[in-house]
Amino acid sequence: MKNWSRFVLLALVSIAMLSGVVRAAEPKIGVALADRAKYDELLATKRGQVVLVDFWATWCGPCIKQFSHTVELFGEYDRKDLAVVSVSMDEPEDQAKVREFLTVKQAAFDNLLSSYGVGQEGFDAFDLGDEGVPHYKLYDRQGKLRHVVNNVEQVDALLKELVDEK
Amino acid sequence: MRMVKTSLLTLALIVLPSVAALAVGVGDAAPNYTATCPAGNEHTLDSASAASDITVLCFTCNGCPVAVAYEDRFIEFAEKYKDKKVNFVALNSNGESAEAMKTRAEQKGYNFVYAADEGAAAAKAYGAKVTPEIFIIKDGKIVYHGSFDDKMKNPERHYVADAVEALLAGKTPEVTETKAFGCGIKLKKK
Repeated sequence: MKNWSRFVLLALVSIAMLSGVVRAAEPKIGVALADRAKYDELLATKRGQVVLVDFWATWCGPCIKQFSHTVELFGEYDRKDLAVVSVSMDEPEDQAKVREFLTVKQAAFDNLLSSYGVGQEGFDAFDLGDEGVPHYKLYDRQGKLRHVVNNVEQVDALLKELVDEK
Repeated sequence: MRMVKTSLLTLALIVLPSVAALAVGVGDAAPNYTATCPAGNEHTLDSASAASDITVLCFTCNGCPVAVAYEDRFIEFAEKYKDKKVNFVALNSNGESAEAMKTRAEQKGYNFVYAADEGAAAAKAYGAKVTPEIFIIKDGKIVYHGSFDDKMKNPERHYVADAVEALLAGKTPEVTETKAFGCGIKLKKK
């Protein structure tokens, strides 16, 4: 009985240690406030890579549902081929809520939060179409905007096409 | 099988452009619609227009946080203009149940019609894509299309109120088209 208890205790300690190790290895997820100029500056640093930008918001059901796919795509491609940027269209004061979501999703890429708040100015500044978010922009390796889509199902093929343009 | 596919493709080619062509803009005739109030009675644009000079048609829903954030503004607006023959009408194109719509309207004390747009037919006819999205209709024509104001929090430009004030003064609204922002309307069939 004593040995059995010791074994359980050891197992629990191991699990706790292991989860601690796993947590420590997880990247810290950040989110930066950005206007259009900062967005353009960030994108300029990505020349040579295809860039997928996911415009989303915590108030947007389909965005929440589709965001995992963006994270998956980030994991599927080599870093030299693909950069992923997310832009949250939430209110700037909702930064903690946005970071929490991104942390849960393990969005280990550049995450921006629109500094304009929920409104026309932000949607205009980032050239989001009439259909709002989710909204995806795909840039080629030269930094040229090549595709704008709202449907996540279209992203995969378009992205592959751009990555294959070496 | 090939014949079936060809027929379906042909049908799609015929139907899709006609659906797209249904969307209207500022200056166009406002399509009539038939929506269902939670109590079961029908509501149409014709009935709304018969009771008012100006109809403010708002595509909204229960679940979108942006639409929810605007509820108090809609109530305030409807109250402010009710004696000026301005009729604020809300349509729910997202397929939420009559019970859920009734509960929401009662909880918030909606002072305007809140009717279900079955199959998002009206949203498709108007080309509405998000909630909330507004169309102002006067003399059977669309005179404004876009957002209620410019920001969810602390708005500075009150597009709908300004347009209505201009119309009540017999003028053309200064701003007739803005970009609506909010949650996407479920336009596809499940």
